[in-house]
Amino acid sequence: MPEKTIIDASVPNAGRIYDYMLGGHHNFEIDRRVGEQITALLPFLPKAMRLSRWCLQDVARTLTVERGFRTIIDFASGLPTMDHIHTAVAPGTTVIYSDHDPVAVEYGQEILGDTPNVHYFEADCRRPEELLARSEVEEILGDNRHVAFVYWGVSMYMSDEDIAHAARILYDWSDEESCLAFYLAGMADRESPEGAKMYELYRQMGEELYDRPLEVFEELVMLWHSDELGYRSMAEWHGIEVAMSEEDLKIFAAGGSGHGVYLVK
Amino acid sequence: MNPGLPPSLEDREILNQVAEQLASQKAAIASELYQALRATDMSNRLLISPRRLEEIAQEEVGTLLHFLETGDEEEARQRGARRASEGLGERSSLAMTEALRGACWMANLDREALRVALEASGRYANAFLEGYLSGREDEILKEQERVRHAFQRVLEKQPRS
Repeated sequence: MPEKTIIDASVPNAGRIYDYMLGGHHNFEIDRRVGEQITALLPFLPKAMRLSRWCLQDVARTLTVERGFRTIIDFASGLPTMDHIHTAVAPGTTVIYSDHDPVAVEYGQEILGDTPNVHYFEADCRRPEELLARSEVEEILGDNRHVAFVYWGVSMYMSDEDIAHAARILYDWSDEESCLAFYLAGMADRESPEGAKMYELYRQMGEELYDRPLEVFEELVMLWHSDELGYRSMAEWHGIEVAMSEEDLKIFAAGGSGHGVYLVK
Repeated sequence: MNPGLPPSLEDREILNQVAEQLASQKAAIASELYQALRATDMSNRLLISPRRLEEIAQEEVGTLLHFLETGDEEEARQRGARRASEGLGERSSLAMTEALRGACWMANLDREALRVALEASGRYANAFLEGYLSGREDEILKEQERVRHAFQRVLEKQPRS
């Protein structure tokens, strides 16, 4: 996770670069310049980001309409734009968004306004216990432990220890039927020149990126296991062919465009 | 061709016939449109996901047919604005309006009908894109203002050194 607050508009910020790559407008010249540099190195990256973001509506519908969850707790939510979870859930669902970035939280609270049953709190996805222990969250949830957690598009900012810790905390806190929807980003190969440059660019911004193969991720979240749908690539998820050039394939060989999964107990 | 002027009464009659003819080929036109949208799908964002493109193609063909019957440019503008707010990308918007214009060529219309149909589809494309651009601008300005508010509130909450 980026350590710096997004409030400093004079330095590039990973969250705003992500927004730029998704075609949003919550970004500044400095973010766009770095975003262009990254896109020049890894032309597939903006596509991968869009593919993962497009899953959110499916995740919201699947968890609430098909699987009957009435509470969703989303971590590292970013901006709750019109494609975000609360717009696609079954009526009556409580959605708790959270982000470490105070500007995203303020922005989110303004967008959401008085939207019933939707809340937004400042919290770090690496320490989910802090969000769950907030008095406002305790008041909203009461004794309810039947929830669906969402970690979508944040795995690259979490170390292996962060992921293992979060998975364990959520597992222990929630009931037997709870679910964890997770997107494991497909990352560029560190050994490739392009990948190495991208990791270095983020490092220069003070933000460490993490990558891991699927097998390692499965080990990290071992208390949970995938449901019958399994780990799905973005192409499988959307039911489309995702055009990757030869170069893309070389650089993203390990994870392609990433995998989405519903983890259950 | 003069897509800027409204159609004459005579042209209106021709347009109704054109709309009927195009309606009989709706599936083929929607398929062309879908291909155009698929080719530009990565320009889209927010609610316009690859899985929705088929449905959008169907809807947009229906909208063009409706426009040929009514000539309602305001409705086309509103549609463009709505698609912009849903996240339709610039490339997809252009590809879509081009594909809809191309539908007139697919329809084996006689020379006069083709002229009238191309003028009408030109008017539709202009109105749609006008609405689209204005919708995009509105979204950007709204977002700018929200960002400004959010920054301001965070700064206000920060302890002064």
